[in-house]
Amino acid sequence: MLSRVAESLFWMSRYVERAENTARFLEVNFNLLLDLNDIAIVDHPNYWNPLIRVSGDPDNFVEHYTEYNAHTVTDYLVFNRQNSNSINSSIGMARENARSIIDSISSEMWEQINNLYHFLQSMTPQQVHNDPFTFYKEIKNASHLFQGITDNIFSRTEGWDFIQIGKYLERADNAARLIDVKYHMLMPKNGIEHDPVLDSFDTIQWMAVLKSCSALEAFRKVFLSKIDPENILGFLVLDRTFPRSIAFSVCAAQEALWRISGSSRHRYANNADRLIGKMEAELSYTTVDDMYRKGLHDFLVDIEHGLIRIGEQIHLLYFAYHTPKIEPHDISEALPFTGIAGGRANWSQSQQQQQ
Amino acid sequence: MILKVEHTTLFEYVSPIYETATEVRLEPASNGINTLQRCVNFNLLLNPEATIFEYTDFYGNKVHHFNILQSHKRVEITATSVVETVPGSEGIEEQNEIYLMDFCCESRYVHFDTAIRNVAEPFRGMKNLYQQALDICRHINATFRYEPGVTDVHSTSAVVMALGRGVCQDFAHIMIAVCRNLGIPARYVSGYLYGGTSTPDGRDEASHAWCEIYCGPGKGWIGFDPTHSTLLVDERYIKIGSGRDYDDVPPVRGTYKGTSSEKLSVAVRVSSLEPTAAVFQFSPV
Repeated sequence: MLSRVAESLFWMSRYVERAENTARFLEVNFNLLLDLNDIAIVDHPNYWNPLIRVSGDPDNFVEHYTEYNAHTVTDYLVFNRQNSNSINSSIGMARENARSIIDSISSEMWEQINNLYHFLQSMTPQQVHNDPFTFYKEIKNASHLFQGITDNIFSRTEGWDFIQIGKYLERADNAARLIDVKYHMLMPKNGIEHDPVLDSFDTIQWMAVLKSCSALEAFRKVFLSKIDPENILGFLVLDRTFPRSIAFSVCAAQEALWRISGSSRHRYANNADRLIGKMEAELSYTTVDDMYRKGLHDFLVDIEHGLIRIGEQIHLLYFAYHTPKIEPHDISEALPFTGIAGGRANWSQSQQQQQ
Repeated sequence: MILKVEHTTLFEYVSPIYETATEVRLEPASNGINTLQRCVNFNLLLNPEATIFEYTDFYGNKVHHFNILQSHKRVEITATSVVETVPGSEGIEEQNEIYLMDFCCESRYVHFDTAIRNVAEPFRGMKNLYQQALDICRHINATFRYEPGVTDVHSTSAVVMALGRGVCQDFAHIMIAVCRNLGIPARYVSGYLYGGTSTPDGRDEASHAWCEIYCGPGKGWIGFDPTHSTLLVDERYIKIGSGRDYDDVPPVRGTYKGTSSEKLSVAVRVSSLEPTAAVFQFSPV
């Protein structure tokens, strides 16, 4: 298969997953604020600021807005095209990637992405604000429908594996960021006496974290009694059976990488396989205690950086087909690795009107 | 007249982009089936350099295309041509009448809506196709206002009808829509105009567009320009090519990969190589 096709499949899938995750964060935050309405001041910027930290770039946010509230954060994360991770940008990029490989995917897949894109174009900030629940549900369902269509009719070739890698790397990355930011806010306060009100307050917030991964019900089936941070961390990071946990996602991405390269356990064919194998082993033999000992933040940052390195290796190995011969001498003209930002779609050149 | 055209298109990017694939329709047509003018010389320069390929498209227009794979921050396309133009009063015969079908129906930029039908209605039933086209051309020239900036390159005839304003591209689309609505074959022509809207020294910011109307066997395709009150195409006009609408003959079209925002600038300069050109004046027919 052509490198450019593989690359577009990878990013198409990755951007759809990114849009879905952003929709999840926002939806759960709206629900959380409804739950908290009577026991806390819900228009506090602290309830909105973490969303920006999860999905990327606070500096970019403050360039465009003066305060953190439901309107500005929704606008930034849903509509703003200056934010390359907004739902609008993500779906736009997914669509551009899909368009450039329209002959390699099924027309149903294209139609689904195109529908979602046009649905987004038809929405106004006011409509979203009036009924956020329906809107975010629509985005989530559209993403599920796209993944379902793909699952049903895309041949299990290498292309399929690139779709899986994109989806699961993105999912693992988003889960790591979400836990990192939320844990920072809800860190157990050592030495402070337990306050039943504060505790229940935290419980609601932890439930929100679970819900944003659609993990609450799955979690309840494993841990019947208490919502406690350790169990939640164990579940979201290390669980091998829940499809939105970090360990599951890394495993699934690893399997797809193996299928492409022919690698197997203890026998890696390339750097991408080596790095993801290392991360998978790390997650397999880590306990919640280990994470605490290392410091949860450091642990999660290592995972995020590891995922970026894996993405970089995949890029160099499978997508970057430029040879040094045709690269420019001037290094500043050379194309840098774009990391998780991606953005490698085909764009149309602007055209000039005839006057 | 012998006219020289220099047409430079410059794309600039803030950060590197790569895999530019571009198609240009910049070479003036030459005494083939679509024109009587003669293109004496044509030269296409690229920066960065790339191998240029060419082919002739379905409507007989010459297309040059090239790819720039390595990363780059600017693409400059310079086309220079020398053309010997003709008076234009003589029509061009259509050899293959089945092709006329394409120029009788709606296309991407040309829509038959109520507004277009209303414009077309008073002209219905005229016997002389040439006179009919001339009347339509005069009507459009008189009722639409020339105003750059209100429409863009992707404005369809419906948008222009609603605004009542536009530039040559829009005027041409309206005239094509009206003629086709009356059953008269009409095609879009991309090209240049010597001494048209440009500044005295011949500098211009864009290429020009008009249309050709098929005035029946014997008369053939005759050029009309609804943008200028002279209405008829004469030896100041240089034709690049023709198609159903703008989308068939865009001067430059392409794709690139990357995240950067894009800036496009164009410079067009049409000058005369004839010594008498300095005092050339258009005389009314």
